[in-house]
Amino acid sequence: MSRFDDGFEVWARGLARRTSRRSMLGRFAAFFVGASALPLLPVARASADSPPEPANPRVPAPSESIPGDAGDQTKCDYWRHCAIDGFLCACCGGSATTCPPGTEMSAVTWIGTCTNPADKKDYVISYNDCCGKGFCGRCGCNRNEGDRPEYHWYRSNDINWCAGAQSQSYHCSVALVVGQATEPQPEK
Amino acid sequence: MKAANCTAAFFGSLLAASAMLASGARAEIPSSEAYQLHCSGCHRPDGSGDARIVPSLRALAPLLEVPGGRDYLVRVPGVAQAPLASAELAPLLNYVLREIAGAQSFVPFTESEVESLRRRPLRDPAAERPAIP
Repeated sequence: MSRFDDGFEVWARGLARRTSRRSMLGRFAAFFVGASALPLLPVARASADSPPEPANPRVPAPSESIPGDAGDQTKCDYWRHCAIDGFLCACCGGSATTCPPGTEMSAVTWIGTCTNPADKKDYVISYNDCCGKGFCGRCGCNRNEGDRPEYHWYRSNDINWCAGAQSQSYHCSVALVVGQATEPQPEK
Repeated sequence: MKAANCTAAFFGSLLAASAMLASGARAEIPSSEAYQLHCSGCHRPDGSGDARIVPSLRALAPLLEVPGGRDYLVRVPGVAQAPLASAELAPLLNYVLREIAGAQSFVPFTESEVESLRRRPLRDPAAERPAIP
């Protein structure tokens, strides 16, 4: 046993003479920096350079050429969030019109109208849920202009519209402008 | 709007005329917009629906040619119970048949026909559908 201790002591002292604590820290640093640089390798770049996926034909094509469309889409009082009930995708890795990576936009949704304060016009808004992950939990927003109870289900924002997606796990909501409205929706 | 309603009431016995006037009161809203607002959320902008939970509107045209099909189109819950006046519903239904389903030649639905049919909504449309050829 003492021979084992002696051998280990010789090895440890040798190690201490040959190396320093600073070199230990340097190796740790190299390891962590290297790990964090992995996404910069050509493999990750190749996927980023691939052509964008075609627009999902299951969801309406947003019409976003709105004059004076100014506002902070991460805020609940952003004009097109006038009847949203959920978490704003702009705070969850997506935007007011796109789902965060790893989630799927539900094709089945509910449609209402919101007034754009910039031009005082009403626009038809499609409130699509992004599905496939658990609750985002950021930027919860509950505005109910034109929202109706569940018995008027296709104007209700209390329904989990992920029923139209592959996964029924609700993550966040987007508000797509799909056209200009002649007048506010009848329920307003 | 009020003038149109009064006129329609005055000529109440003339159903065809009142239908035209009532429709005219809502003529400012294009049917394409009404479709967006009242139908496209579930049936989707192109009417293709969802294979699992929402029927497609794109194959409706043959129903116009078979006995019972025309009635069925109005008596399904989504149409019969839509929160729209029949004067708005009839042109919207005609729009869906023409623009979404591609029906080329058919007798357009009138307000009075829609009004009459939607008073008898189908309790179980899926069960009734096989009875229509």
